[in-house]
Amino acid sequence: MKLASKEPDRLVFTMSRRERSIFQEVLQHYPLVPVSHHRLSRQGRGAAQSSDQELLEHTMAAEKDQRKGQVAALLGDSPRFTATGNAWRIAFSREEAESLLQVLNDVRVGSWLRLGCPDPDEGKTPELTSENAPYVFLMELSGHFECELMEALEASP
Amino acid sequence: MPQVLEPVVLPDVEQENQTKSKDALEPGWLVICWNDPVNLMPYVTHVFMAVFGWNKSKAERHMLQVHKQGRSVLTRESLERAEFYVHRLQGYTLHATMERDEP
Repeated sequence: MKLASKEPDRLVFTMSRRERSIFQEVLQHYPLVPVSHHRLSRQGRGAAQSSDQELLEHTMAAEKDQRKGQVAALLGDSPRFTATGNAWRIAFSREEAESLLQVLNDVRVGSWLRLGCPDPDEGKTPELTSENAPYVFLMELSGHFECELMEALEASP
Repeated sequence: MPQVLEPVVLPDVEQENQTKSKDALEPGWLVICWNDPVNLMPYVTHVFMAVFGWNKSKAERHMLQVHKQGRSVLTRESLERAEFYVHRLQGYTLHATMERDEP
C-alpha cells in the first residue's frame, strides 16, 4: 500500500491484489477491543462515578457501531477500488483515513489482548494457542497499514 | 384599578446547580496517558496532534515521556473537558484515563 497522489482532502493509494485482500481481511475483524476494556480511571469507580464509566462504555459502543457500518460500506464499495494493471487504486478523504487509523488500531490492540498482552521489554511472550495464533499476523499487518496511513496523512498538504 | 403583582420565583434550585457547576468547572482533573507495549510510537504522536492540536515537537515530547516514564500528564481540565479528552483518546485505543489532581 503506497501513497500514489495527494490533494488537500484526498489521499490516493495503490495496492497489489494480494495487499487489497489482506487489507480487507484485517478490516473485517473490526471491532476486536471489548467495550469493557475502556476504563475512565485507574483509581476505580470511587474516583470517577460509575455513571461516567457507563457513559464512556456507551460512547465507545456507539462509535464502534458507527465505524463498523463505515467499514462494511467501504468493503462493499467495489467501485471505490479501481484496477490499474496488476494493482488497485483506492482514495480516502482525510476524515476517512483518520477513521481507518482508529479501526486498524482497534484491530491491533484487540489482537494483542487475545495474545495475552505480550510485552517484549518485560520478556513476556505471546501465549500462543492454535486459536489465537492468527492474531500475531493480524497485529503486525494492522500496524503495517497504520504506518502507511500515518505517513500519507503527514505527507499530505 | 388594582395593581397586578408579578409572581416572584426564587432561584433556589439554581443556587444548588451553581455549586455543582463550580465543581465541574474546576480544573482539578488530570488527563493521563499510560505506557503500553502495543501502541506504536508514531501512532501515539499522531493521536496527540489530532486530539489536542499540538505541533509534532510537543506531541513527541509527551509520547517520549509516556514511553520512558510510563505515563504523561497531557492536560489539567475541568471534569467535563477531561471526560471529553479521555473519550477521544480512548476512541483511538490509547490507554488514557482521568484522575483527580490530589494536592
